[in-house]
Amino acid sequence: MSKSAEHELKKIVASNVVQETHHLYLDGRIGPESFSAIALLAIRLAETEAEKLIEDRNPINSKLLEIMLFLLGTDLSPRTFTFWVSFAEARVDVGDGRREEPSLLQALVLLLENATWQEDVDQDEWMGYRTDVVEVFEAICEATEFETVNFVITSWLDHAARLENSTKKLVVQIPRSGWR
Amino acid sequence: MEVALFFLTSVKREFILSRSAQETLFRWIFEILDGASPHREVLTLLHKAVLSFFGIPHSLDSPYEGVVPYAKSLEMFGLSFKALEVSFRAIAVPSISTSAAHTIDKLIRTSAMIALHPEQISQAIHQLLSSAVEISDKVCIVEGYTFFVAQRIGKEDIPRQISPVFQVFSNLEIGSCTSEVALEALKIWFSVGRTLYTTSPGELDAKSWTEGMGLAMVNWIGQSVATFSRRFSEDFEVIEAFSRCGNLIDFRWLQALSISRYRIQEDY
Repeated sequence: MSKSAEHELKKIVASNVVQETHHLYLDGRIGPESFSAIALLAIRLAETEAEKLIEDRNPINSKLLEIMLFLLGTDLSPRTFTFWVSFAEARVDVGDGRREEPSLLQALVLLLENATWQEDVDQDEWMGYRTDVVEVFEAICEATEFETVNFVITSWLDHAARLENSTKKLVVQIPRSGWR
Repeated sequence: MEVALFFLTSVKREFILSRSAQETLFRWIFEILDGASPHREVLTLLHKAVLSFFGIPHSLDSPYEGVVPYAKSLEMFGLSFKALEVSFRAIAVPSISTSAAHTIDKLIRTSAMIALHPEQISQAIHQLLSSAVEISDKVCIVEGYTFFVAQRIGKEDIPRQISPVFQVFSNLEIGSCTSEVALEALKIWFSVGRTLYTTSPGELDAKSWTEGMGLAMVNWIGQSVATFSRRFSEDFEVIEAFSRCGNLIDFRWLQALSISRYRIQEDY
């Protein structure tokens, strides 16, 4: 693909088209395949641009990163794992080693939420997600300062400990605003 | 909490929780698990996460130096026994028994605190072997216990400490038991013999093995194997029979077992 075509595609994807398509899909106005098509295009573009997303945080790249975070909250979350691993590795290679990268921390929180057990969870799907997410966890830890990951995990545990409902305490989902 | 434990277990090589946070985490774990039955689904899940967390495999280079920090922390905070207690409770639940067995194996092998109480451990092992736990889980624990005995107990006292494993079979009717029972016994004996032989071969020439209790055990096992070999020749075959008594090196016969129907070695 030529650079200019790629740039144009990035511009299209970086509009709110992915989020809007997801909204249409949830409303039943389009099928899952339509949402998947645009989402997978966004993922593919982000995967090829992982290093640039670190080096050049221009508005389009920032938007692309935002879309990747958005997709973590959708059914296509596992399809973004390769991107997040590449992005975390690029953080180490291109940047100056471990340092705080807000997107990675937001991704970590979303991934933890997705990996949390819930009563209505599809066991096979959940187990599969947990198997695949380990590599992303590892990559994020390698790219992030110890204190930051420690803070995220202790905040999570603190919140859980304060809950009175024992089941929620064990498998609670924490409101994201808790540490952002 | 469960997902946090899953995360910490997943990233054990990349990230270790700060010491103060670990202390808090351990306190919460035991507050929740104390007296809690692992049978409720959500508690089973938490038990499994806790057991995986405590039982993270250590480095192969050295069984002691390579112990992962969480096991070291359990020891440092004086919680190894409590962790062992939780594991012994959890092993009765089939869905988490394997995780529990690995954790028991790990704790017994590595905890200096637990090593101070060999009698209690041998009693617990004896009870466990008498209960209805999967044979593969029993074997895992027997290997951990035998390793512990071989490493931490004086060589003359090894037979006495190992004997509770064999006492479980004291009522075994070798002339009338089923082949399944015989096979279970063989697997346990094999795991003891193999672990002793690989862990401390130099200590197997102790007098206690060539005389008295050790010799009696070796003779009894030898006779049992010979009987099983004859009775269950269609089920399995012992290709190298016990030939000499009086030296534990003869436990090697168990390594030479060739089981056509059950294939013991593939279970490990």
